Amino acid sequence: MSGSATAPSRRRTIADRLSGLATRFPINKSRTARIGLALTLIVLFVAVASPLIAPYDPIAVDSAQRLQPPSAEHWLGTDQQGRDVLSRTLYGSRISILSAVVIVALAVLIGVTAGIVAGYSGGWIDETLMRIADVFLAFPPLLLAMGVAAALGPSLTNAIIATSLVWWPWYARVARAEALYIKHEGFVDAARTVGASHLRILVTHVLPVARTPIIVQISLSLGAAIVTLASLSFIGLGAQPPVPEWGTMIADGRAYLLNQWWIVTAPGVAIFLTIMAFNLLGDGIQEILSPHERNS
Amino acid sequence: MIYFVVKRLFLIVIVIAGMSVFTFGLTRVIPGDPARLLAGPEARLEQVEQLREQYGLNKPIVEQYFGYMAGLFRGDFGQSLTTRRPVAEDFAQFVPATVELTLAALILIVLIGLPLGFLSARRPNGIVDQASRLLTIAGMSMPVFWLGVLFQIVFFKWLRVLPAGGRLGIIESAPPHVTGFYTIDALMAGNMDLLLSALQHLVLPSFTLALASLATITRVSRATVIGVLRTDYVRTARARGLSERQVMTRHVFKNAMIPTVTVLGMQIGILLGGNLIVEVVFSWPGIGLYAVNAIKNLDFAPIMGVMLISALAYVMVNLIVDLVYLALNPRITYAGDK
Repeated sequence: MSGSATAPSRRRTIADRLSGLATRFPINKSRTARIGLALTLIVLFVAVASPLIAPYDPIAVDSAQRLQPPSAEHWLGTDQQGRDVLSRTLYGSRISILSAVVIVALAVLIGVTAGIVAGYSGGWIDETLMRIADVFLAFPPLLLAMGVAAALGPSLTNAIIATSLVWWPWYARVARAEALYIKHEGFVDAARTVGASHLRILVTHVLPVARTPIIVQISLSLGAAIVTLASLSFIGLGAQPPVPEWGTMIADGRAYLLNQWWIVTAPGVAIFLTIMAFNLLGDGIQEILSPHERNS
Repeated sequence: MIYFVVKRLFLIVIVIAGMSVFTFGLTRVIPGDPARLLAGPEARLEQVEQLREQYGLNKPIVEQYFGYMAGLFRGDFGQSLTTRRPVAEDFAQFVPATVELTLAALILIVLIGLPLGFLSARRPNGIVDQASRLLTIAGMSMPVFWLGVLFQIVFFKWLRVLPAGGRLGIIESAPPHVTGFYTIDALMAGNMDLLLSALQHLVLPSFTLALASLATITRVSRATVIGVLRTDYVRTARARGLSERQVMTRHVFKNAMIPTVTVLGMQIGILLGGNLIVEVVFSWPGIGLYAVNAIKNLDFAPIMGVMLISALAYVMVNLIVDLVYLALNPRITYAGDK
């Protein structure tokens, strides 16, 4: 009996939370956001469901089926080792999306920590951290990632680390600006007066206020993170064969470009659609969360 | 203003020093021993020790750093293991190709992106605006390596109108070296066939390199022009009876250029990174291809050299943009200026 009494109330809280989310992110206000969200959900579905919907094992070599054009058995043909291009492309979405999430998470972790510490402390700590950020920003993004990935050695993990180093300064700048802005607000002074530690103030007061601009920045950098990582893979510094990564697939398929165009086309279209999904979603979220920056 | 310029220059010195420490640091976190790497896999222990001595790799790290910096100031970027030549010599050979490609891309960005942005802003949601919005969204989502490959399939394989790569055809030889830009050198030599060939070889790589930045510039200039068109001074100009052409050229263009040029300066960073990819796709013999070939051999002197000179070029372009900006726009005061 008690179970039936609690179940509806729990359901209501979830419903409340969802409607709360809908109020904070009024998605129907932006057509860009709606299209972006729809495309992103499709890409996410493919990533999650790829083991179920992929017709073949993405790394199973079948030398009898090398370089087959699209057919009933292999909808998007096979590659130079007889692997099914459709299956590899579907699985590729997992690697791109997981890596993008890890890259952005690392960049947020480093950047936001550095930013709020810099903004909140001020003085030489601020100067030092921000000059370090300037040095990172002074490199052309892909070249910085290339240098770091080359020094660490070619692997997907190292490429992820290298790519997150490109983005942390942006988060540091955003977080620092917010921290500077609210440092002298009454409630921060009040917290300090009642004896709250610096760490506690940073986590409970500064961080929540910085949340919105950080969300906007995250949504804008996901697409760029995917491109950078795939570019590193394309020049041989990211995912290594036989991993079904889109950049690597295009690099390998380039040798067969003129006669077996399907090997490069499938991952190319997939990465284009994925990046477009994230870009549209990012633009949409920016329109919704910071309407004053909208220029149309 | 003087204060701003001095402060900006001072910060640049700090940033450049930081960049050099960072790049040098990278060469020292490589897994493995640089002397052993330099000597090659079959070297005997004495040879490795000899190299260690020769390149000063047995000295303290700080001393090594200052040795490296002293070398940089003499234009010594170290020795490439791949080409077996000093990196500086390789640069002299490969840099002009990269600069030519980048300038061609910049010309496309300015000549196509700016007018497209302005035209879109004139009639928001009109036909031009809708078309350019599509181009912008697609352009910003198209990875350089896939765009280049797609161009090769379409224009080389299917339409057979443009070459797939290289700076010239296989049987053609380079024009006499003056600037290192094949287009200009061919023109100066009066060889029109060669000029045509050089231009044909430039089309696909430069468009591939330009597209993403072109999309960004279109978007930024559109947004800025729309903003400027809403200002009071434009309304006043119109109220005074100026023709639309006068309003656009005298009032809108100049004011919309300032933010656009800043974004263009930042796009140089994207172009310098994009060169890595475009040069690989189109076998364009510039420093991007040089760096990527070095990566395959774990050859660090060229990689670090390319990183450093690209970053230096990027920093300098943005410094120039800032200074030009300051000269063009006397209304701007910077923090610290009174």
